[in-house]
Order: sequence, then C-alpha cells, then structure tokens
Amino acid sequence: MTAPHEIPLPGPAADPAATLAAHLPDIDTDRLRAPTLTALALSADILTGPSGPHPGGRFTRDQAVVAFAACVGTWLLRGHGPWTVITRDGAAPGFIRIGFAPGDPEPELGVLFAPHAKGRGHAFEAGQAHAATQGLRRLVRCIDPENRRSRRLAARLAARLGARLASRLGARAGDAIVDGSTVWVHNLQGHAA
Amino acid sequence: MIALSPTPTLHTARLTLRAPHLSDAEALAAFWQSPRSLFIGGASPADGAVPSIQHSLGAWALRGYGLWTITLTATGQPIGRTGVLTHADWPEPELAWHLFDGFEGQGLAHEAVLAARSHCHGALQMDPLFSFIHPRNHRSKALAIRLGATLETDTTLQGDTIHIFRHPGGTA
Repeated sequence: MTAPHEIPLPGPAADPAATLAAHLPDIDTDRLRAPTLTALALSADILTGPSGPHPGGRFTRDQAVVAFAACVGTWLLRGHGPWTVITRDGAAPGFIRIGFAPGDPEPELGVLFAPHAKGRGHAFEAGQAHAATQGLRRLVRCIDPENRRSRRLAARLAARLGARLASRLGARAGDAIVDGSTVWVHNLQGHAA
Repeated sequence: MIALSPTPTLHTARLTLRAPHLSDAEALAAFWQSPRSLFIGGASPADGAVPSIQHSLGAWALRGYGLWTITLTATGQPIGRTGVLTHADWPEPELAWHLFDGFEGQGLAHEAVLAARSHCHGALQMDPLFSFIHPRNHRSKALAIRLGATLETDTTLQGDTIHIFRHPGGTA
C-alpha cells in the first residue's frame, strides 16, 4: 500500500524529481532513470521484504525510506547515486547505483531488485550501461560470500575478487572483511556499454 | 557535484537557511551526543550525521521539501536545523527544529522556524504543518506557542506520549 508520504505533494513541490533528472549525468540509454518518490516506495518494499539484502536483518519501513532518500542524497553531495532501472516492457523492477557510504573503501556498485525480477539479466545489462557512463576507473562491490546470485553477476560483469584490496582493508579499517563480505573489483577501463 | 537546486536558500535578519552540507556533520554529531537531543530521539551514533545529511538532501530531491541547516549569516556557522521532516511512521510531514548548544535565548529559533514555515505554507503551498513536541520539552513548547501553534491532541510515538501542535497557515 502506498503511504501518504510516498505520494508527491501537489503544487510547487511536485517536480523536484524532474529537477534531479535534469542534473543527472547524460546517459546513453533509456534504461536508467532518475529515482522518484514512486521508486522510494518500491525500494522500501524490497528492503523490508524477505529478500531484503541487508545482512543485519530486514529494514523497518522507516529505515528503508531513510536509507533510500540518503542514497539519492549522494547525487547532490557527490555527483553519483542510484538510477531506477527500466526494463524493455517499461517496468521498473529495481535499482543500480554507485554508492559511497561512510566506511566504504571506494565507490561501490550496488544493485537492488524485486524478487520477481531477479535472474533475468536486468542487473547485468544495467551494470554495463552504468559502468560506461561514469568517469570512474574502477568500482568495488562488497558481496556476502553466501550470495551466489550476486557473485555470479559480479563474475559476468568481469569483476575480480580483490584479494589485495581486501587484505589491505583487513589490515586497516577492515569493514568489508569484518562484515564477512568479499570485495570484488570492477575494472572499468575499456568497459563498453 | 550536482547543484543543490531543489533546496531554496532563505534569509532572515540574522540567519541564512541553506541546504544541508557535509561540513555540518561535526556540529550535528556533537548535538546528538549532547543532552539537547534527548527529546528528539537522543544519543544517535556520531557516525549517523553523514547519513542524516544525505537523507535530508535526498528528501529535497525526491519530495521538494526537507530540512535546512540554519547558519549565522555573519559567520556562516551552523547553529541548528529546521524544516520539514518526513518519516514512514509520521502521520504527516512535520515542521521540525533543533538548535545546537549555545544559541538559545536570542530568538534565533523563532526567526528560523518562522522563515521555514512561511516558505512551506507560502511558496510550497503546504497545508498547515504540525510539530511533535515531547511534553517535557518546555522550551520547544514555548516556541511553538510563540509561533502561534496550538495543542491539537496527544498521541503515542515510539512508546512515548507526545504532543501534536498545529501551526497556523499563512506566511506570517
């Protein structure tokens, strides 16, 4: 059910998402769109659902809403953030983003999809388009070793296990390792859309 | 970095209300670690300041309204936050405020909240906003009354009784 706060306010506050969209990097694909309040509801559904990716347990609705808004906020602070992924039939089943949370060693590639949309290659396709649009030389992903689907996706996107980075992190802050995640490194040089 | 275009900058006699920025994190973290945050959740972890700033910015981008950082125009120093706060378990968007340590008793909160409220009710055409105020938060209650808000009802929030003050509409 859509909560009242997930419906745009009528009047002059109604078009901030258009403002955001106008500022997002030019993307040569119609598959990635600026996130909107509708997307916020979808992300909250995914994050609070049984396949919510948070290793520490499911989010409450409010935690999910705050987390997604914060994720959008990185566009304004850092110039990168989440896109809504649009499938060929016009559906919006999930998100792909470059995030940089406090404690992250480097910008991280993240994907978040509704359970029914997993396994259809959307993340792979979006990941390719996404990688080609950013001026970054590389991205990392921290993946739960038990998450076979994400590991497989990382491999398809030609990421490599960042053993050296992982050991460096382990010796330093070690967040990714302490949390039990493996670090995958995406080398984006020469990565075509 | 993308221009912080969805967040308008407001000016009052002494204050500038601007988009939140990462440089506010230290002052915000200090506030949360202090007893001053007791009535609005209190003792958030210090590393929650950056995500909170990101959340505020994301709210502006997604909703067209959110929190401003209140700064002293003369020095640029951040002295608190005000604006519209949205949470999934809130009944409506809330007009919220908090001042950092050392800036009370000078009418600064009144000046800032009035400007924020006028913008929300005027430029953004929002319906009259409400504020949650803890019954023991006497200073905030006094400010709400000075702002012309009235006690509408009591409710329960996260296990605590809390006042709902309703603000008058308009851009006074």
